[in-house]
Amino acid sequence: MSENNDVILKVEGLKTYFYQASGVTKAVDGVSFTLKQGETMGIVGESGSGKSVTSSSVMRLMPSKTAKIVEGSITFEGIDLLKLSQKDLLKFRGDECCMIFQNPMTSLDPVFKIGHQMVEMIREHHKVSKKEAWKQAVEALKLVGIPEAEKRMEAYPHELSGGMCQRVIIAMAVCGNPKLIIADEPTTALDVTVQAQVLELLKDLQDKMNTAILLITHNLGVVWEMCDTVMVMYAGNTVEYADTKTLYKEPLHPYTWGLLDSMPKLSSSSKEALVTIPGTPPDLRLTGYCCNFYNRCPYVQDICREAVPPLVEVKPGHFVACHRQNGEKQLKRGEVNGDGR
Amino acid sequence: MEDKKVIMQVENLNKEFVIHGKKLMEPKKMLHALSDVSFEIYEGETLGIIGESGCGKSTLGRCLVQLHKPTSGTILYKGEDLWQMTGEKRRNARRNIQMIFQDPYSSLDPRKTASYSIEEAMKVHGLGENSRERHQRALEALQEVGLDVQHMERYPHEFSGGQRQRVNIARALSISPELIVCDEPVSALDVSIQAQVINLFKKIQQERKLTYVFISHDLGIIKYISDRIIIMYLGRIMETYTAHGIYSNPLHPYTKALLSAIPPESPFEKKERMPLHGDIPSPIGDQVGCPLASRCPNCTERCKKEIPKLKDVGDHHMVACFLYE
Amino acid sequence: MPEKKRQDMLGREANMAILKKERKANNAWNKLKRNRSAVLGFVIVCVMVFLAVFAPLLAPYDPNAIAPAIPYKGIGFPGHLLGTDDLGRDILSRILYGARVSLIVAVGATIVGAVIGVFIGLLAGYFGGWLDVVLMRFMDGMFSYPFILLAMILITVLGNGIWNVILAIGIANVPSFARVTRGQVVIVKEEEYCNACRVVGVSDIRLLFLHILPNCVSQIIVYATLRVASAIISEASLSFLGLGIALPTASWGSILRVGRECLTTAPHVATTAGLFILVTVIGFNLLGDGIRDIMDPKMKQ
Repeated sequence: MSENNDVILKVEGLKTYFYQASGVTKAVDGVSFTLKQGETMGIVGESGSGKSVTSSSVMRLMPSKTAKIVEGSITFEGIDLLKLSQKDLLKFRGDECCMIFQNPMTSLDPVFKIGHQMVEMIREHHKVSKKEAWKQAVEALKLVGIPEAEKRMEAYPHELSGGMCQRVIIAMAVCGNPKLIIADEPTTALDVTVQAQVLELLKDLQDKMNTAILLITHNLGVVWEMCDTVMVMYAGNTVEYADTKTLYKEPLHPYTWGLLDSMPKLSSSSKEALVTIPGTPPDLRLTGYCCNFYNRCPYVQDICREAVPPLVEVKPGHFVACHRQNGEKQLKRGEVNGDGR
Repeated sequence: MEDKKVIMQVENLNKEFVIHGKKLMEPKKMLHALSDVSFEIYEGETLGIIGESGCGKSTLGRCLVQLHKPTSGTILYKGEDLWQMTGEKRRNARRNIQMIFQDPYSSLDPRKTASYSIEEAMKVHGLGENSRERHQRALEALQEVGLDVQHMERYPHEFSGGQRQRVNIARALSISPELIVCDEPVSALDVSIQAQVINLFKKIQQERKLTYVFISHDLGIIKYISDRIIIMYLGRIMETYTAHGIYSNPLHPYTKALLSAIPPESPFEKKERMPLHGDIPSPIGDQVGCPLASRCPNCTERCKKEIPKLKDVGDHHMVACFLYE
Repeated sequence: MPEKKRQDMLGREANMAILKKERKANNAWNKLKRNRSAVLGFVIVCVMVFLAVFAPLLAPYDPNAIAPAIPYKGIGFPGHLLGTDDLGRDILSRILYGARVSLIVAVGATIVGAVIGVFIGLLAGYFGGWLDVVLMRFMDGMFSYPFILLAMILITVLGNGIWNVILAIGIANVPSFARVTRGQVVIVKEEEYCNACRVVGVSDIRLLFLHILPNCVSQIIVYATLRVASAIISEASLSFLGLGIALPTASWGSILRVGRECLTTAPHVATTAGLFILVTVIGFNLLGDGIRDIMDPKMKQ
């Protein structure tokens, strides 16, 4: 991807490990991506693929005792986030970047009223009077489409539904005018009809404020709807990274193929057995010596067991980490494996 | 469909939960989890039940396996009322109706190994001569769901989510039921594992001629696995039809909204949204009018006052909406 | 790493190996080792138990042997490491033998309280309804009596003697065990696996004792460990008041009682016994807290 002035977040070779008594868990083991202003990037992967750890690495929100960023760099508008002091980090988290979590009910403090929490948050980052902060908070609630915003300010989180809570959290996120929003499975806990509303809202806000969004999800449908580029993660690695349309039309990694095929499609009325990826994802304490996907891959060859495939740019903007997409002879989807096992 | 045998018939099922007031002297309130639900399940079919959270689909499933006692209404299993059965008959009925729960992480006793859980199920129903035979049969059940000997003596936390759900399935299968209620059995699993487990469900159904009640909020999965589909909203059935028919010809406004809210299948597809405003109303308190009235774009004065009845609009396509009267 | 092994990095053997390693790292002993204060508590408790068990070998004198010639000798008196009491009995020997009585009473009382209390808690928590109301209100009634008063009444009724002291403190312990167990049962019985068991056809009794009880046990063990500490104090208090172990049998409480009369002239008598009580109580409390951390599944580290 070409160097660009409006690149807002750049992550290179990020490795985040968790040190446990039973071994080193390589939760994120080599992830690189760039995010431009006003763009939405999706990170898809299964649970344990490292997508959430990637985002909390960017926010530096990991348990400091056990987790450690061992390698790589995270640059936000040219500033190396890994070198920030604790104080600057706090400022970064509120002003430049904010995060929306999966479970809206637990992201709000249950003992304080919505209004109180929002005012506190605003005053934490801006030197404004209480009255002014209150006004800003009401504005923000209106912006995210909460009816009777003034009344809602006096409500406790448990008095609101899940969708409403998520809106409040988004309101809190946007009242600092952040340049980057990290949304970690923002709609997973919500119902389909409410999910549609929240996604719509995120898109609207992005258009208005030109924010970059890093969207973490396991739902490919959400990616198709929201994202400009998408990164597929598997067992801590980036396996494929491309813009959304390319990824849908010409996916290259066998894991991406499996992922695309294994979703039952609404439009088809086929009752044939679903295409699956056999097996289960590997234990993250074992990875890092080979292609992490080799034991589930139908196209496996000897080299896959022996070396970690590098992330290669096969076409401009299309990266893939697979030994068999790397060389002269490119693998085709559905091709019979000639000389693998 | 007429020639198929009805295995279970649900008639006018109501389930209310009493909500005690938090404040002193506050009067009790009623939460209407299920209101006037009637349908039948045919032998060998898969009946899908869709709805959003709080629509009563899980409560319905739990009523079917006798975890909840319905407030009123009857559930007939092979023509006999489930709650009136006694003795051997009752035990048999319980054995024949099994359930797979949503959360594979909490539905296995954390302090018991996989083989213990399965053997216990057989033991309480007096299956298998002795513990050796039960052990052997537990292994066979595990092998049927794609696990093997090495998983026998493992504890639940040593399994992945998909494997745990397989153990749950093996436990249900070990006592050879006829009907399995699957309460969101794959929604806690990853996409690639979901497909494996769904295929497993289908395979077992073919081999054992099982009947499924498949509860889910994922429309793609429901459509794939079900023969007929029930759409629920706020404790009531909105629409019932064949899986294919409901997608090609949705009638109820709620069904339409639900279908339009599904994220697109490709980045090239632009979805025409039929928005439902606001949130699902609370099921607490007395119900007046159509449950969808507050959110429905086609709401009329009548909808606010009267509750629409489920009506057959032809070809067993049932809709509860005044638009189709 | 040899070439062959690397070939199967994600294979079955590798997975089994990591599972084994995890089981090992997460077994109770290894988790205890990683928790410093728990180790300290464990060591203290072990030392005390060791002293109590081997008291006859370790004690330099018969604990009841009177030596009227050397009363109230201070710490470091030749031949008597911790001095002597009013009748010239060797305090070290008395403390070692006293440890036996005190620990037996404390542990015994906790077991009595736990067995009865857990049973009541299980029934009340699981079946609920009027049974719950009757049992728990009765427990509340017992709770509303001050602990010491309750034990005193029981001792008065039952009479002195080590078994009666165990019974008295044990019964006074029942309500708190019942309450802890009930609270835990109410949570566990709503867990999905209990529903799963019911659907499979497991009977109430089987569910209660084979599924719910094992899942409450860890909490009960933690609570019992902490209760042992307070039972030591209870025994000491009762003996101090002259209601517990009758003299001349040595227990920490009875040594304390003797020491009270000469607190100004020979403070070492009460102090040494008090110190042993203090250290043991701290030991059990640290151990209890440690076990709580170990049992907490969130504390996997």
